[in-house]
Amino acid sequence: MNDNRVALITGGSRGIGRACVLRLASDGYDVAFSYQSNAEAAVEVEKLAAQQGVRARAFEAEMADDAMVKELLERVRDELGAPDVLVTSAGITRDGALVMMSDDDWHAVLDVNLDGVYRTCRAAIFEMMKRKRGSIINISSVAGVYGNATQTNYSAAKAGIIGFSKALAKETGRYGIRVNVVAPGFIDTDMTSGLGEEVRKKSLESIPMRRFGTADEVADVVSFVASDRASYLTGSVVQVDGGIAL
Amino acid sequence: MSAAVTERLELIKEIVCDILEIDPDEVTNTSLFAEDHDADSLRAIEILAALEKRFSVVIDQSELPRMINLDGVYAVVAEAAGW
Repeated sequence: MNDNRVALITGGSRGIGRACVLRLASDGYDVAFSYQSNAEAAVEVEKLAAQQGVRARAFEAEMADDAMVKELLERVRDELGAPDVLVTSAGITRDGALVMMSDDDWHAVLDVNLDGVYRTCRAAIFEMMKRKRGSIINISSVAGVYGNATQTNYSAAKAGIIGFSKALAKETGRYGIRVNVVAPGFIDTDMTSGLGEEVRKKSLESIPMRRFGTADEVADVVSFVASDRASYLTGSVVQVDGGIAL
Repeated sequence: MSAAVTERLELIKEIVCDILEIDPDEVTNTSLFAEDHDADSLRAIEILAALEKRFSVVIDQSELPRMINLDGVYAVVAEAAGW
């Protein structure tokens, strides 16, 4: 497809978000993405995406900041047009056992990973409802489906995304808007590169496919869910996890 | 009330009643779409989009909570259009 539709990806400078930016650009979308601090990586992604012959714009924005998220949507609308596709991929981890978890670590993860999804969807949904079309893909995690030890904060946020998305799918389905969740398992990204050898080995034992996934494998699913080929798919949680059972 | 205002009000009423599928004779300027006419509150989005198109205005998302009856809708459009 290429009728110059617009896709916005949050957290697009690295990891799964980056792969989604590049995949959607190769699908023909004009792509906008947010990044938090790594301007150098963002510029590189912008260049790579533009090589697909589409317009690509990077915007610095913190998902924990209401005003910045609102401004992000305004700038995307001004420069590229209102997004038809929204992928919320921005996320952080602050792992630790609950018994030792600080309030700050709890709130920081919820604020970025869950409230960030609320902020972005709320800012984008108005235009989608007016135009009666849109596809939202919120990136959750298998941690949100099964729970993951030392990640109560992350698991709660990612489970919250699932409930949020199912509710929003019900609210907006008759407006032609589809809302789905893609829940990746262990994917080779910066976020999982910090896992110790022992944890990694143990994780592999729980994955029937006996390997971590790639960001591109997640982006391929996101590309499908975003597209009209998935026109009857809404309120779903698509797990991209090599068959993992935590 | 000037003729222009009456005319705009009538036009807005027509658009609103058409979208909400309610009888214009039953709607007053202050009757509430949701509570008094059983209308779906999310339909405000469709009213907003139709009014933007008809009057060539841009109405902000934050105005939606005010669009609960004809008076509210008229005020929002009037402000957006600078009437």
